[in-house]
Amino acid sequence: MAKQRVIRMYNHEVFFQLTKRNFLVFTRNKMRMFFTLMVPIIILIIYILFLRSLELSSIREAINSIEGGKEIPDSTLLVLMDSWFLSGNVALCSISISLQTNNLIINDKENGINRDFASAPIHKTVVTFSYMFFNFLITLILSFAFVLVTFIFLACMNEFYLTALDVLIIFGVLAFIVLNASAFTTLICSFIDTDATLASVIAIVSACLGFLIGSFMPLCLMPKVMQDIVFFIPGTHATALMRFAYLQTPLAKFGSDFDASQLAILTNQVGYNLIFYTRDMLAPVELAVDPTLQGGTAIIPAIQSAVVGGSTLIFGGLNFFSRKNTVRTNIK
Amino acid sequence: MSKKIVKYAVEVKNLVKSYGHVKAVNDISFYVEKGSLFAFLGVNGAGKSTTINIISTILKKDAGKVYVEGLDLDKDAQKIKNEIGIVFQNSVLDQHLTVKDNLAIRATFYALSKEQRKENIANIVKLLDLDELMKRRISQLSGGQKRRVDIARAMVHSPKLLILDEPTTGLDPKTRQAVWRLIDKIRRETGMTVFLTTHYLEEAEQAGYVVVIDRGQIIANGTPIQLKNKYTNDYIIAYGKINPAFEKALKLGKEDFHYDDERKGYVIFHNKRSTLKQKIVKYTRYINDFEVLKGTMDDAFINITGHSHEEENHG
Repeated sequence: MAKQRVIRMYNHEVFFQLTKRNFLVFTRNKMRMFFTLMVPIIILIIYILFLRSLELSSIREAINSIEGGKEIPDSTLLVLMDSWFLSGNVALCSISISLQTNNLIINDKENGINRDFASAPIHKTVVTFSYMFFNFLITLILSFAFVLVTFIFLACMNEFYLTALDVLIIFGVLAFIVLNASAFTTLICSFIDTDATLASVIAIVSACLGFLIGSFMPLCLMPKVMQDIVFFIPGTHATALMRFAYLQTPLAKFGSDFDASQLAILTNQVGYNLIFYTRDMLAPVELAVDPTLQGGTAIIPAIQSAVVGGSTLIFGGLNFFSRKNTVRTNIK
Repeated sequence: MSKKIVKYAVEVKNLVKSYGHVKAVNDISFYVEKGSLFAFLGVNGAGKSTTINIISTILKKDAGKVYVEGLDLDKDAQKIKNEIGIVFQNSVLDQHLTVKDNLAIRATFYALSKEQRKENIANIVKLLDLDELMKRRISQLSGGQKRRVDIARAMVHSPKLLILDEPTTGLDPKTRQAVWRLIDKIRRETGMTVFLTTHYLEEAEQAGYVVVIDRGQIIANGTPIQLKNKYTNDYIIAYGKINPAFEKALKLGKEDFHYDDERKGYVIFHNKRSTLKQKIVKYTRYINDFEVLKGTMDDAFINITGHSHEEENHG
């Protein structure tokens, strides 16, 4: 018993020292930190410069397509639209930052540092989960920084209606989805051996994921089959959770400015509510008439949380089984 | 309870490792005496690194037995890890961390108390003269300084066996010598067994025992003197221009000789028919300037492997 306790304590110590090592190696390379945070910032800049006015006109058109609907001022639409986009970008950045941070795992494989781990009496599981925990910490810190950027943006636009509780919920959701992203990307990186492959994966993921999880555009604009497929991506649920955190108070505040049909369009069509398995593609007018969403299923935040939490556990478990790949030594 | 006396630091018996159809290590057996400086000599791709990766528990073997400090690799791999320190060919130091961080973090990989870790690091810093470098980042160090830290990192847990995989590859001659003096100092002051792989013949010459490996097989072993005696001849270099009369005399005397264009002289090998001294006397009328040379490890290597060492490493 005493021996087992000593071994457990020793494993804890190695785990924290390895996490510290990973953290120091990553953070002492300031350029790497800077470029990792640049991805969501660039997306935000593109949104401000090009997409914002485009999105506004498309939402305005959808809202006004309801006959007899209320006249909604642009300032109100912008509050909801900006919060919608920023929350989606925060959810996306939790995955993109996490993936880029795992550059360290690949570097350790390429530079033979894994051979050093393999020659020491430390367990592969400890090394694997130290990578995951380090990834969680860095992604959380950088995503937190980006969340602050979004708050500053909302404040500068006079669109900051979040309460202290909302802010707490946002940080809680952030930690929750970052843990999911860290478990997912560590698993992905266990199968990648070179920096070049990781760069390709980052390029593909950056290009596709924003659309697939509904960060850049509402899911209802996707083909029907894709709408059903993305249900199985935990990132979709993570995005919806973050949307809930950013939008619940502004929606409550401005909801009375809309009539019921307009609000249904706003919440269902743009993706505040997650609706899957509709009979056909959602159309604004039908939504207004059929709040049951054409037989589709609305996924409430509790279910979204369960999907994110459950998938985190599954990814964590798979990381355990893939630990040999994570610390592969590539000796030929 | 009596403690088992272990004679050898490493014992390898009929070790086999293949990559597909290529046999990287083909049924080799050897042993390394405790406290010795052991050299594993061979050209690139001969199977040296594969062997030490197996001994270091990093790579799985296909067949054979390996014992490290009396521990069976098949049963006690985790324990073996505590007994060895390995310096890889390519540095595994974290470039953005300080020397101190690198050593302190590495020391936690072994189940040592905080005090023990501190003491070990203090001893290594003193032994390898690293005090002034402790706060500097690895990326700010010279090649030789990095190598010193690499060696220190491998020794933080006071292993009984220090394995060095081509420790001086890529270093300039001066730094190479410094690293060599360091290895010698470590062995003298700690009594640690040092197992190194090298393709530098002059390095192997300084070892207590040499095993020559070629294409996955051991083709010779012994002390450097034994190898030179067995596989080389002493010879005379008679400096001067090509001299047909001298050549005629050498042929008549049935000498083993050739003209060396680079050294500008006749190389006349020692044979059983006469001593070198007798040769000098016999051909004194043709010789103005001469040198008597002992066979080198280079010569031994060529004779052992049947091919030039440089040819293999560069070709």
